[in-house]
Amino acid sequence: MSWCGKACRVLAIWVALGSPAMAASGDAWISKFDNKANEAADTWFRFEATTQEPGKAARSMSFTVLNKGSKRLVNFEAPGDMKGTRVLVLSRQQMYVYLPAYNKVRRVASHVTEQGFMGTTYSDEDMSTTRFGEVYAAEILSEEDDALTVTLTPREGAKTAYSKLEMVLSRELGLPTEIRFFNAGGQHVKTETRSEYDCGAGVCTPGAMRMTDHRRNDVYTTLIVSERRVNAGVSDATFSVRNLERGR
Amino acid sequence: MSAGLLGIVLAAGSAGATDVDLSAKIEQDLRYRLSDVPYGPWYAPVGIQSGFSRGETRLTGRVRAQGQRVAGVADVSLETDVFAREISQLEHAAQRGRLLPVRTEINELHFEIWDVVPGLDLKVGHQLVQWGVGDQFNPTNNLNADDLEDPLKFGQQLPNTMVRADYALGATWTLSGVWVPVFRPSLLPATAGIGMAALDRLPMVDEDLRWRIHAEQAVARDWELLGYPTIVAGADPKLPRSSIANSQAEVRIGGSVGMSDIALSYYRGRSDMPQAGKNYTWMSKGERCHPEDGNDCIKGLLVTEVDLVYPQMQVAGLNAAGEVSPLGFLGVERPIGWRVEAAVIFPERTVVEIRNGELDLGALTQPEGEYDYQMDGERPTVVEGKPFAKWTVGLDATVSKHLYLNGQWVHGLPDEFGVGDFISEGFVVRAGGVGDRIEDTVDCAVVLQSGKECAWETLRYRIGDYAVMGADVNLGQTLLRVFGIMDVTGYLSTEWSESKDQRVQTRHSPLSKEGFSAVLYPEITQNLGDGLTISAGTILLFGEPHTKFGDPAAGGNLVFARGAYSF
Repeated sequence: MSWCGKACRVLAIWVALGSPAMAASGDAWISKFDNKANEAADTWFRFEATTQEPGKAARSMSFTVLNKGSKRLVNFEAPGDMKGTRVLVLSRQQMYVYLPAYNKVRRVASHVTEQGFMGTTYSDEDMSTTRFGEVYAAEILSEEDDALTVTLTPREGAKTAYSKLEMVLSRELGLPTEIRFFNAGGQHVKTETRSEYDCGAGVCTPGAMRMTDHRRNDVYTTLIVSERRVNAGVSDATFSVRNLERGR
Repeated sequence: MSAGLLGIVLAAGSAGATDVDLSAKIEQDLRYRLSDVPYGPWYAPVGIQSGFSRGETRLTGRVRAQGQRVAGVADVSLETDVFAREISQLEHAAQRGRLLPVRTEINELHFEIWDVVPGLDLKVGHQLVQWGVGDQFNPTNNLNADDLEDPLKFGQQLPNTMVRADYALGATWTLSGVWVPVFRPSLLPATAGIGMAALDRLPMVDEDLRWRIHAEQAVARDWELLGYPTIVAGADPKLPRSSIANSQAEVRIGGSVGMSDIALSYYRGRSDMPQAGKNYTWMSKGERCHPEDGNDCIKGLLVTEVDLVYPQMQVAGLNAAGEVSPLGFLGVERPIGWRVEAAVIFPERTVVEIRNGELDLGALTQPEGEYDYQMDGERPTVVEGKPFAKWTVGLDATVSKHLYLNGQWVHGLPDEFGVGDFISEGFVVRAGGVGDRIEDTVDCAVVLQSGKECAWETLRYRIGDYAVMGADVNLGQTLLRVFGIMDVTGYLSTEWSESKDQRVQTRHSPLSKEGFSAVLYPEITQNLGDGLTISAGTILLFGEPHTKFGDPAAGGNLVFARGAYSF
């Protein structure tokens, strides 16, 4: 019975961490952003994550994320109690976790993603929205020389915890440098910054992200990409339950 | 030894592998039993005392080396216990190994080769194969024996040397086969000896025979002309000969149908839980009296030694898991995870042979030889050769960011074996005996040679039903877990009714005093970061001594504190 404690805490990281979403004039800018964010056939990142609460010691963890289409494989490397834990996401309804302590692959239901992950400030939705245009309609709020700000509001029927997003897009990159999140009451609750874009191999991804939660005394989580690979020709077979157990 | 093994694997891994990964864990575990668990008569006490019951420090090292197509894993533990081994002589106190015992365990030691031919992986060595979608209750998972030594690690299994092959059948299906050359039995808890001492839990299926033995044991013990109670002095597990015929094997095919997972399996091998195979009773003369009651005396003991056997069995298994949104038709997306694990077990019929040396009890003498079962030359059955089922059906849900719930209906725990449940009748004896009037018992045992009119028994289905509930309250770095099991099987009392001139039965519901039995296991864990966690909790057992969890062999109530640093 004790499988879930860790599994549930880690599961969120998976679902989405794959393709840090980015992108741009109202809907057209957002469409452009979505396309840029998803143009690689496959991506692999090693993340160093640090969560800092005021007055407390920072908590760190390290993990890798392999993405191909909607499939995702996450491998936790640190801290030690998380090391070896692997999460396979084939779809939002089909997820598996390998827990080294139990030496076992367990099918997990998608509800576990509601638990968030590891006390970070990222929610599952924050991490897993890879195509904003599918969820939000966009209007330009303001324009400047090197950037513009668009307001995103949920499309009818879309499931989201936010009533509005304000996204600052770099004109040069066509990708976001800041996203402000507003809750159902219209309160500005979170701010994410994305910086240090790496556009090697024709694929731009942020090298650093920080999500600040204003409801929790501005606690923030930073995600630093320490390594990345794009279009490595990853086989579909990599995203299999059988592979989850290999070498374990 | 373990350091050497780790070194060998590390060196091998470094030589040709592209990836070598080292990890380690230091664990501290301290337990305290809250009260004495007395059991057994004064002449053969087997109970356990309150106080510290475990104080272990464990270092586990793991090396994983991986190349393009090969990988190897070595996982070894060194463990020391604050409790010294038994010291009975002065020179023992001068032996470091007795005062500072250290144990080595090889948890895993195996290598694997991928795509031997396209799609075929092989894994060879000391390993665990953990199949089954149930949470900790896995009736289809029979390749590794259960490790029941530590109740806090319920569901853990013992590694064994195996050859495993997995062949990919397309993108989502896998055909697997495992061969286990040498059978390994379950590792039992230290309190298992208490269960062995429960003489009244006669394992025979035949009730007439059981009733007679209840009466005979009582006469031998309580009749003043005799005064020879029976005790169990020891149990000797008889492992099957290490031969091809006694090896175990399983095949399994598993994959996805739509969004659900499904697997079918077939296992041929043995039950890892022992059954009585042979009893031999001999006589030990020697008068003695209760140290606190000079009127309570015996003339000697009838000492029974038991041989335990592991019945052969075949298991057909089904596993399925997925998720549903029960309120989806209302547009409410609250998915619930579901899982079903079911096994149909075909056991070998197992009989027990009961023999004795010459028992010269004074007023009665039993000649040396095999007991007269009065069963037309047949030996009594302890496990019927009829198929039976075990299963786990579970649901889990996240109620909020902070609350996760998991519930399961478990039909059959690992130590339950043989036909007998609400589908097909069959019972185990949880308690038994005779009435208070020794004259009546002597009539039954000596004159009538039948215990039908004397014996009483408390019975339960061989395969019990359990409601298992767990809840995780997640408060960031603090996790409160509450886990409970309730035995919902119910119990049955049978005895002779003078007024009705026949035996009568009384059913005890799971909510009655006689039928209630449960475990409550709350634990709070604090994650201190950087791989360090500490936790504290308790295991509380409820029920009368004849019940599943009130049984003294369950070990009594514990509190514990644990810490682990992983790096």
